[in-house]
Amino acid sequence: MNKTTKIILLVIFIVIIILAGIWYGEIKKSKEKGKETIKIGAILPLTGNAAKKGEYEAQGALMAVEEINSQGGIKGKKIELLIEDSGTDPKKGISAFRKLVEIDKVSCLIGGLSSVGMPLKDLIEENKIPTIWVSAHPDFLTGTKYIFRNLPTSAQFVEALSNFIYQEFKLSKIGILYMNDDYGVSLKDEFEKIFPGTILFKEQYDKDGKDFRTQIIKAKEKNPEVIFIAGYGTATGILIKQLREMEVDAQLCGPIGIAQVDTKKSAGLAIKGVIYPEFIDNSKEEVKKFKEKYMAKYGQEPGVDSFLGYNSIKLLAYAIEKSGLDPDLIVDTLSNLRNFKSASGMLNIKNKEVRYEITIKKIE
Amino acid sequence: MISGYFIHLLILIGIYFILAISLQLAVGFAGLLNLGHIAFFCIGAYTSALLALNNFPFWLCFLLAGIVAMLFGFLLSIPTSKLKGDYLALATMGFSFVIYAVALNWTSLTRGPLGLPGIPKPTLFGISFSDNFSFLILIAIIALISYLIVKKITTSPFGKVLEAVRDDELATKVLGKNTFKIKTYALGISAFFAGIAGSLYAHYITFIDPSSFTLLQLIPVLCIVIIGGLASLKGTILATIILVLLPEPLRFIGFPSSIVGPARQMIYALILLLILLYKPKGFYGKVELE
Amino acid sequence: MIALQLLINGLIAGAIYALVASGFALIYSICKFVHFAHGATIAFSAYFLYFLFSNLGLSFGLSVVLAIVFASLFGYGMNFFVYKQLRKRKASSTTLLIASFALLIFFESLILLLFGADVKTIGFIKITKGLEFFGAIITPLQIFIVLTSFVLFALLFFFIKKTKIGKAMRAVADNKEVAEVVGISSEKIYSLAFIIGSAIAGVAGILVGLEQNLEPMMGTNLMIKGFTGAIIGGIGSVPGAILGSFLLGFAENFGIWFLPSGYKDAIAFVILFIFLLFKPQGILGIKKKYE
Repeated sequence: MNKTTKIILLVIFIVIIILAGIWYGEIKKSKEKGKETIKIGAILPLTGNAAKKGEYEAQGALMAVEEINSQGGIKGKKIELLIEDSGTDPKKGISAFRKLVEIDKVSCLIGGLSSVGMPLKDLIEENKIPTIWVSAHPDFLTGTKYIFRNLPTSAQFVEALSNFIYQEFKLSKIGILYMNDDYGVSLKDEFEKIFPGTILFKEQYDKDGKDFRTQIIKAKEKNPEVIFIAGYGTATGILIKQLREMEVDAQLCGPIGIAQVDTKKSAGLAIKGVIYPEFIDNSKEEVKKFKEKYMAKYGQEPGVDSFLGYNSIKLLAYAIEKSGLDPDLIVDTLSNLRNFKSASGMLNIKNKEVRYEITIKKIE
Repeated sequence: MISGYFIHLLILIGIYFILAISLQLAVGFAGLLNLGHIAFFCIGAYTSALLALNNFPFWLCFLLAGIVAMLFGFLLSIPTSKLKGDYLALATMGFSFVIYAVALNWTSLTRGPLGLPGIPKPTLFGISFSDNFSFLILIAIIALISYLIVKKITTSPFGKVLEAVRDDELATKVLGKNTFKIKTYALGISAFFAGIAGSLYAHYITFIDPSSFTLLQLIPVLCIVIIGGLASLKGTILATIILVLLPEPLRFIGFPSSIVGPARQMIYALILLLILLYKPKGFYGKVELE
Repeated sequence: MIALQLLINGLIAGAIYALVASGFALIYSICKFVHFAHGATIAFSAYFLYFLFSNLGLSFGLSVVLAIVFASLFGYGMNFFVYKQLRKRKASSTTLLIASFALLIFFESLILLLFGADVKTIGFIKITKGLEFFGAIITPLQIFIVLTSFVLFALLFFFIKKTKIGKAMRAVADNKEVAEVVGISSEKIYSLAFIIGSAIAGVAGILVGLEQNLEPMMGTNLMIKGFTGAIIGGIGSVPGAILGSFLLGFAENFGIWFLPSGYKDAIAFVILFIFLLFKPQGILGIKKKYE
């Protein structure tokens, strides 16, 4: 049959193009190196609500990779950092993971966002990929062997904030506006557990939303002294802007994400006075040096995630240098790490978490 | 390495194929323009995922996914059976929005936007289908069986009556057939297969959230059905393969996934427009859209 | 006072939906098919404004005018290149619906590709402090939106009822064949419907862009709301669509006082579904020619 033959030919044609593409890709890759490299994967939110975080983490990680490679790499082998976009979507994160692990065969993984990381836990454990992830979610490490956390936990942030508000400000009537993803929900849960005062309301807001006025009316009704905003990114900035537009005068506070560039930009002048917990100490020498280097390379100030991305790579590189590529050995080395020199000062790893000290800051 | 990627594509072809023949049954054979088809896919996926996360055996999750979806299909048929053409399309579309809203807001059941992570890979007869290759075999078998069943239905006397209802409902009624019952069965069966496709999807990706089930996800399936040709199962097979594979070369020309994603949708939309303009019967279609 | 605030919020939302719905209903009543891609017109004009104003740095006034012109041309283009060709091939209204759907997806994906997924802001209005009356807050921009929509509706109404062309449009809407016999070119009227309807969509896009920021799916989301408003009020009637949209705006805002905020869109969807099933001709029930 003429028509069927034509169509079958079309299908074969497309399959050939794909094969050709793959073959070409392979040739290109092997030409470029000729030598083996150490492949580290990165699953970051380069698009979407958290795009700025992703950009910072990617830039920090790349800076680390370049530094290491320029000093000869790890035992002579260069690091190849393969970055995939999760777009804040867990499904994209899963496809990215599959591609990095099954096709690119990465030895280790870094990345960010609780909402992307949580669904990846099982896959990471199954495939035994040592992973350092930026996630504050309290359950992120439960039941895992190969995952490390590179961020204070929600519990730590919330404890610091809660103490400050209750003791320093002496305020006890608080309301919570939390973002509808794993991060926001975990922060809200922690806050509820720990805050000794009265929680007047808990309203959810959409991480991709643009109009929060209804939640704000409900919040205003309850007349809170403080509002804890559990979120990050542009949506959170818009929320803050609208809160002030609707003349809500409460003291605002939030996690570290609230002080980043994207939130500040979408909040505009409304961001003044917001308090948040910080764990990168700007007075330290290492931090100042890192900032200079980063500024020179990228023309912008680093964000918190830049430090984290940089540190994650440096930690993995150190572990690979010490113990090779065996996942279990890498995990052992990292688990017992003490006094590691990083971009933000000395680091220790305890219970598979990188330890940081937290102070409260106000946005001027 | 190469095989990992191809297996993934083949699995996608399998899932889309089952979805497409289920929609084909409703649109091509029964003449029911069900723009809400993704709702059945969604219901199947969530049913299977929730049961599996509560430790029910896979075969039960799978079958129940189909059955629950089928029940919704029957339910949907009741109010929509009197609607024609545009209004049917719009009402069914509205249905998919409602299901989406339920998935998003009934957080105590579905965890809303947080989705359901950690859906276990299927285990049947003691064999665990956790690696992709064995999953592919499972899907291939299910796809084949689905195809055979749908083929049987369309070539059976029921199938003939179905097409009669599509072509001229009034005449068929006059001839004494209960067109409401027939359309209801058709929608129900269509929903059943969409439901099992949903189950397979959930167990493959291991994570589902409401954003996997919006109107956007209908586009590739609708394209396949129209491009393959209405009322042609053969066309559906070929169209599925072509449409799933077609955007893939973009990945190799080096475009990042932030471009490949929207480009895929654009390709589908463009092909659909071209087919509607220049070849409305698609590859092997027997009829045109209404 | 809460009730007043909810009323105001409903008014603002209703005004936006009505802007979307009126253009859409105009096109439907005349061309007799569901032009989903109207959502693409809205989104594209908002992004075009962003492009002119924030990227190229043109003056705001000029950018707005160009964006509205662009919207009209865009709608006209879709009619000319796609719908007209399909009509030549005797396509049914269902086929046109599917085509419009494909167009919507095509253009929204194009926006995603060109501009990326993150939310963009048109930084024209820097500080917005709300004005207060009786305990309810409304910003100057929001007042502007409501007023603009009323002005536009009044103009539209005047145009359709009083001008000769408006009469011709009504003639085609009522009975195309008879209108043609009298010498009215239905294709020309269709084009005009697209031009006017899309211009209104352009205004909607710009206002929403200023009030709420831009994201690639904004067209589809607004289209669904506008479409619901049109169905509630009676899809074949422009005044009906406007009325329905305001009703929807109020229903949504009063509804979420009682329900968790996430249900806002769900309210619209459920209302849409119920109307489509049980009262597809809407409240004003005007569908003069039931085909």
